[in-house]
Amino acid sequence: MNRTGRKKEWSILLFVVCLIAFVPPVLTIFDKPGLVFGIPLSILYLFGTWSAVIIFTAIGAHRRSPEERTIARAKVDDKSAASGPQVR
Amino acid sequence: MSHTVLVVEDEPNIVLSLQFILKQAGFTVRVARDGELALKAIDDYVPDLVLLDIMLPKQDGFSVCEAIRANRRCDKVKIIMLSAKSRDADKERAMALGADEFVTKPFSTRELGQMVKDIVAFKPSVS
Amino acid sequence: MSGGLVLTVSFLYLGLLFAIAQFVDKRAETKRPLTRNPYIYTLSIAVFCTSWTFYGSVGLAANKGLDFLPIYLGPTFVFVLWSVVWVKIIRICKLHRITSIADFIASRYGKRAGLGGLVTVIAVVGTMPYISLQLKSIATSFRILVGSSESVLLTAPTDPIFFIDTTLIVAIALALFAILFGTRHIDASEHHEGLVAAIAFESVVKLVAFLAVGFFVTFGLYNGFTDLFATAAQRGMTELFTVNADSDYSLWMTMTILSMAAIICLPRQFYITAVENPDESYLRKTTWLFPLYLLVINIFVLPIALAGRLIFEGQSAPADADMFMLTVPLFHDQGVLALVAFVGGLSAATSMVIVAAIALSTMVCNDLIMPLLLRWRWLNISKNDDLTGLLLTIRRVSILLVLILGYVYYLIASESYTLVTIGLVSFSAAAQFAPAIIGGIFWKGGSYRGALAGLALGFLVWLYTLLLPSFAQSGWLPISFIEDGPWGITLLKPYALFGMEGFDRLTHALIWSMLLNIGAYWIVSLISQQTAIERIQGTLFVDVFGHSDDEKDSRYWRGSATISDLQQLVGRFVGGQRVAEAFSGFAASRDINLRKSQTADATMLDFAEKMLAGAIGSATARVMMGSVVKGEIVGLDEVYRILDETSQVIEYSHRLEQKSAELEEATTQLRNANERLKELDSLKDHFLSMVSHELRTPLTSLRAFGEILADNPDVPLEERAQFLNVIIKESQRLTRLIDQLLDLARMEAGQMDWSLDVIDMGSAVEEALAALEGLVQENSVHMNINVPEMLPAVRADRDQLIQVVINLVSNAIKYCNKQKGEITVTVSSETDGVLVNVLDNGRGIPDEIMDQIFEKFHQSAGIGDDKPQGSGLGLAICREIVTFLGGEIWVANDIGGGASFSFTIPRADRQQARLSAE
Repeated sequence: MNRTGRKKEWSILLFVVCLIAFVPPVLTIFDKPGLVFGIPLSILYLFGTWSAVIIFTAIGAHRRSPEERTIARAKVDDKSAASGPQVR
Repeated sequence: MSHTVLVVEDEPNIVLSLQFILKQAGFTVRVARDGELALKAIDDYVPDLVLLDIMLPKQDGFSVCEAIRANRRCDKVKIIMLSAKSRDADKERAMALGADEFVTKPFSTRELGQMVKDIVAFKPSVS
Repeated sequence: MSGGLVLTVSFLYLGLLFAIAQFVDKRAETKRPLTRNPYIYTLSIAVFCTSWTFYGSVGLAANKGLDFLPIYLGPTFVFVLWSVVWVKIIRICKLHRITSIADFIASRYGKRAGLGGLVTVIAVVGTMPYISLQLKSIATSFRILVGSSESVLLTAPTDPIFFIDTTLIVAIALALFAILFGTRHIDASEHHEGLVAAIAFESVVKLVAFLAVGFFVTFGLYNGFTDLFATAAQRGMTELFTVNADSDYSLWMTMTILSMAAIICLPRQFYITAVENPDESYLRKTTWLFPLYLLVINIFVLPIALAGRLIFEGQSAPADADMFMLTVPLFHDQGVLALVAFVGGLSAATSMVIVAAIALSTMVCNDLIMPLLLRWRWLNISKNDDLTGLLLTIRRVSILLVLILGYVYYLIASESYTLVTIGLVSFSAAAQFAPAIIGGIFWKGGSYRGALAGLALGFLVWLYTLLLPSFAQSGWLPISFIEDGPWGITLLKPYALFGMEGFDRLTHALIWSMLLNIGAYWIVSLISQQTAIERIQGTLFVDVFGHSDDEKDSRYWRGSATISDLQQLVGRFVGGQRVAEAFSGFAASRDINLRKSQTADATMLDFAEKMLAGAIGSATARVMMGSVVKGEIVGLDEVYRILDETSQVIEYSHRLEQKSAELEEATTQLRNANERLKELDSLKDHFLSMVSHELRTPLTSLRAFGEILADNPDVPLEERAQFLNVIIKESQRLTRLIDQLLDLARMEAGQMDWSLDVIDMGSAVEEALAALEGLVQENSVHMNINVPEMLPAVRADRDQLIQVVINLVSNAIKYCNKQKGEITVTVSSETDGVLVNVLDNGRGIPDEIMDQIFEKFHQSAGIGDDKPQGSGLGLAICREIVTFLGGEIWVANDIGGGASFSFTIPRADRQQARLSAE
């Protein structure tokens, strides 16, 4: 409910970027067998973009935001769930 | 021996008029153009009366008044404060700081002359 | 290579796995478990990479180029969305002690056994091909390694070893291993530390093995990537460098979508990612580490495929590209490397089989067998038998069953397919869960009937368009089933259902199954009525972050049951000892004493139900609880109402918070406004007192000299003239002051009458200087005047402009060096306007009053020995005028010491725009 942090928006943005980058028509632009620096362009593009997505996900997941507090609280919840539900 | 009046005022024309009135009344007149000069003059020579303007360069009339009152040599010095700001607050502050009279500009030369004479004349009994 | 050696290595490897699991489990009993870190967690999720990845990707790459990649891109995309999808699913699993994907779906849609059963059936049938894929790869790789002759490299021998089919032996061995591994605990929702550690270890092994072969091929056989790609390009294999263009990318997209669904919906992925998750915050690292693992393991896929193609191209029979991982090293006599690759493949296959078997057996036991036993009353629930043994047996048998089913599928269908094709059939089955799961956690409206209808239809379509045709192709059904449709009805051809042609089989199946699945889920959910418990569960799942703080569903049960009843019930499934410990732990945490005869309260009942659900699933647990709790399971509608109210209260308090924040902001603004008002008030006060002072000062002189002259008729003529002169000067000063005050007031109020005209700045400056001639001479100031000939015209009020120059120059005269006054007036042309600068040689302006010098009455204090002549309004008026004309005015101290006032007036041709813009 209170989880409308930046983290989510960042995730969704990155997801949309993925969808655009890895499907036609953008994909068809780079999906060519020609060698660039001795490596096929398509491989350079796919693996390069993939790495970039991983890096940005890591950055997005690293940033501190209100979400982190939610997750920290989840740990507490976890413990209390193990020892039984609490009464309000 | 005539009494000495120190006129502390930065407006040259007002100084001119006060000089005329006071000389005519038989006082020796000394002039200081700002607060600092006024305090210096008092170190030199203790006047019988100070005509003290409030809006002065460098150090305003209130602080000069306070300094004079703090100076033990000047126990008998009378102070008349002159102000172009006729606010009650200023008058109260001046009296609280130890001024004997408070006169608002523009003043009547006749009344001021008379006031100066009265105050200086009362001097013995006050002390 | 001898079969004995390979078998020994295999069993040693499996033994090592078991030792790791045992060691970790033992340690976990006393210390903090080793597996509790994000890296182990990530590696355990890498169970996603199976034989399919290890052998199949290479095979696919060797035939179709980059088509193998979407299987790994899809999961990457899902992990990009970790904070939207995974955090939510994991939180729900923890709060509700979910044990499997079937439990998750059943629990979401009202804890009804029917749905859980359906999910279990789909999962088991859907996983069948996947397990057969692993069996096939192990068996084939074993035969290749043991056979190891020239011909073996091309086609693996199929003759049985040890007189039994190798694949069956493999299946039984794996089943035993999975049983040993997975059914040591009874509570399925508990963490299996040992299992996770072993799976993580397997992920390391398969990665290392894959990289070893990759390095050997790329850097041993060739001089790196560029050499390999260049050679392949020479031999005309460039079509492998790109995505296979045959299908117009539709297969590419289908595979992406399927793999996205699979990473969530495959029973084993759901189990290892959500159920076995030790800590939500690990996701933060896993979300990029897992995609990184996928990326790394895929780097050498194409190089190995190319190398295999290059080696075996000349051979008479086509080589099995799926086995290039082994055959390429073997071809180059790298026996040890081939053995390493075999172990890597073994680890990939075993990890998948173990996790899948455990996940499925839990589902089969909790969601299929138990409800059936309950329904048929074979299980006398009123008796107090210890049922833990029964539960374990059911699970063990189901593991064996799952593997046997995989073997059967292998026998029926898989010999004629490549590994990837088989795997994708499984993915398509798992994808059927996606609408119910994703819809279930984001849409409260999704109902039991909707989920049931969607799943059933999707599954049927999958059966018809993918599974049955695979039987037909293997000869178990007549082939005319595919070619002409059943009974010759062409509209029902399984690869071209209702005439939909032009797609590959997979895309065709995905389109139809998802169309019907999502459509039915949606429409039936909308038209069917949700029961109270569905609404409750829907709310709890969708708003999991809102409800997790306080367990509101603890009011679920209002009937009465004694503590000892509960303890006995749960004990039968979980074991008496553990239940006693858990109950007393629970009592201790709530600071209460438990007496056996005491009536359990709602929280206690809820605790017992969750604990039971951890062992036998939520649907069964609910029924079991119902059997002990006397009195009705409380008005669920009431529970829902409470829940709904709480939601509203949360929402309301959220809004309240917002309101109070707004209020606070308004207060701050108000306070600021008040401050500003006070400030303005004191400014006005100051202004009035300054005006009073400035007016009274000349008046004082006027009155004093007037009275003196009146009272003293005998004043000498000379003095009289002087006094009269003072009176005249002071009257002029007074007049000037009043004029300036009025000007300023008019300007500030915007009521000034400006006569704007296009004028020449040079002549205006000269006129101003002419007016000051007298003053200049009186003070014997030296003037330097620099006015260039050609100046752009400006648009201004000429009189006001002259006023500005006069004010600045007369100021300069006042403040310049008294003995040797020098003033420089410079006019120059700028890009946007004309700049006028007035520089004196006085002492400059003290820094502390620099900011305020253009304020009204700020002239006097502290500058010079003598009180300057002037009202203190000159600069303020200058600023008003210049600003109105669209220019700027500023002051700086010259390096030489004097003050330097400058102002600009925009050029006539530029100013028009600016004025209108205002």
